[in-house]
Amino acid sequence: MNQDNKTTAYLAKLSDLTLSESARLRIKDNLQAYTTFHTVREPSVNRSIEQVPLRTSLFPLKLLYMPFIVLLAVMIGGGTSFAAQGALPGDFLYPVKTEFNENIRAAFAVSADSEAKLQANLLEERIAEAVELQAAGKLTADTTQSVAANITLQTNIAMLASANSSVFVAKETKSQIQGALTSFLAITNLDSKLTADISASIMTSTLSTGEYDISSYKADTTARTSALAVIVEKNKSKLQSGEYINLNLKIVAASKLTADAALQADADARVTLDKAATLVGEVEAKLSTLGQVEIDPNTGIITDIDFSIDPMIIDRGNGSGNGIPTDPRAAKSGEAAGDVKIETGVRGSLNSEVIQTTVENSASASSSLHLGL
Amino acid sequence: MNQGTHEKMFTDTFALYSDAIFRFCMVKVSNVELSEDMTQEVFMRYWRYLMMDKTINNPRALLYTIASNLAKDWYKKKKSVSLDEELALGREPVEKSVGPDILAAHSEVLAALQHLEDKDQEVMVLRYVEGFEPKDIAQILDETANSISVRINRATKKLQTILHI
Repeated sequence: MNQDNKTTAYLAKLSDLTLSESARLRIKDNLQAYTTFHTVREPSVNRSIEQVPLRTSLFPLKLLYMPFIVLLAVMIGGGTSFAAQGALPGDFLYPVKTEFNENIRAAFAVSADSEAKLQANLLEERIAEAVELQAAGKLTADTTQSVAANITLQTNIAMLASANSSVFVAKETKSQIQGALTSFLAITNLDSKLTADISASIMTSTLSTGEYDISSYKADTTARTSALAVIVEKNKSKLQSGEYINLNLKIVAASKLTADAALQADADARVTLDKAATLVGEVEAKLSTLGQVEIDPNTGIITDIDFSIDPMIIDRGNGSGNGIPTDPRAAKSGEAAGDVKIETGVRGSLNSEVIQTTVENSASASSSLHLGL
Repeated sequence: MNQGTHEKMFTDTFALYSDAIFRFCMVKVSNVELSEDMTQEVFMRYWRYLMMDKTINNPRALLYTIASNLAKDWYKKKKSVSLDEELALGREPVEKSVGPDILAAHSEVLAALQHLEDKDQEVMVLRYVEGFEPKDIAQILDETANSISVRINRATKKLQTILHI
């Protein structure tokens, strides 16, 4: 063996120097995470080799722990917000409930109708708190003052919101406000000034129930009737023939009444429209029991639930066409169509309780900050 | 090319060349952990090339080019180390999957290569461990084939002197 061959053989010993199995797996995992999260074109950045492993190996770890971090935040913060929900005037957490939780609920009530509904509900809550305080024997002269002040304030807010809402909701919320205030007068022994104030509020709400604009009442009823006619027609196949005829008759009667009202004097038109509204209400109730329409309890907005598959949604599920990079593994799975369809069904029937839960959760983190906990 | 095709190509490349790149890094920095990190970084940079849709004719050569540049960066950053730190330099892997005799052989060769200049180390490992032809090495290191051949010859002589072969 000559010198050069010896040298070659000596150096060739190095050729079985390999990565250890654990290191190979670790690097492979890191690279896999890296490729998943670096899908867009980016300029290559010169980073020192000491920095990079730190960042890249921590990244998957952070992702792994993220659900726990979120859960922890919800458990710590959500507790405060949730506990505050049951607080009564005078309690330590009561400000959290009124200032924080309820403001967030208000932020979610986007339309004028849902705002009116929410404010009326909050007034009922204020009054329920007063009832609870009295039952616990905590309704002293002092607290009565502040409770009554809160209720007066909330009454004004609710009345204002109600005045801004559409006719149907205005009617509903005003009677809700009236009922709540009446029950408040009945349960508490207030001083004469407060009683007078609240009685005055009841009077205003009673008066304004009949005050809403007759032309918008007409327009509202007409729009509601024709929307229902479309929905009933669309779901003809899903209804029994008797039901279909029954619903159609009611709709026809309602549209006839609305047409009549257009020709009548205001006072008569109001009575006629009330009748039409009753019929519309019956049709809505029937359709919602069939699950063909969803009537939002807060806004009274009718949503037609269509269970047929929306091709747009399936397309979105596959992550193609919208240009936003999605997890390629999810896109490959090919189950997207089925999953998404179920999801839309759930979203369609999302009710106010679901929204409220979300609100409490998102309130959580900041509410703990608020208290300095 | 879409993300899926890229990923497939990337995984295949990693399976084929990760060990070779690791060896190359070991020769350059003589530290198992650092070499592992460097190997990972080389493939990350390689992925960035893929993502920019650059045409890659010879992935293997590109990987060595990246590794060589990375090693240069590392040398620039490297500060003088104390004797204690020198001793702590891990030339052996923590997890021993091969016998002590092979480990000893690896250590010995790596130690011998440390006596050579940086550029000589590179050409020697590429020529005799990975079996590249001088013209391929020239492409990787961005030099002429002739100068690579000369370098290989000189480095071989030098190594023979060191090893008393």
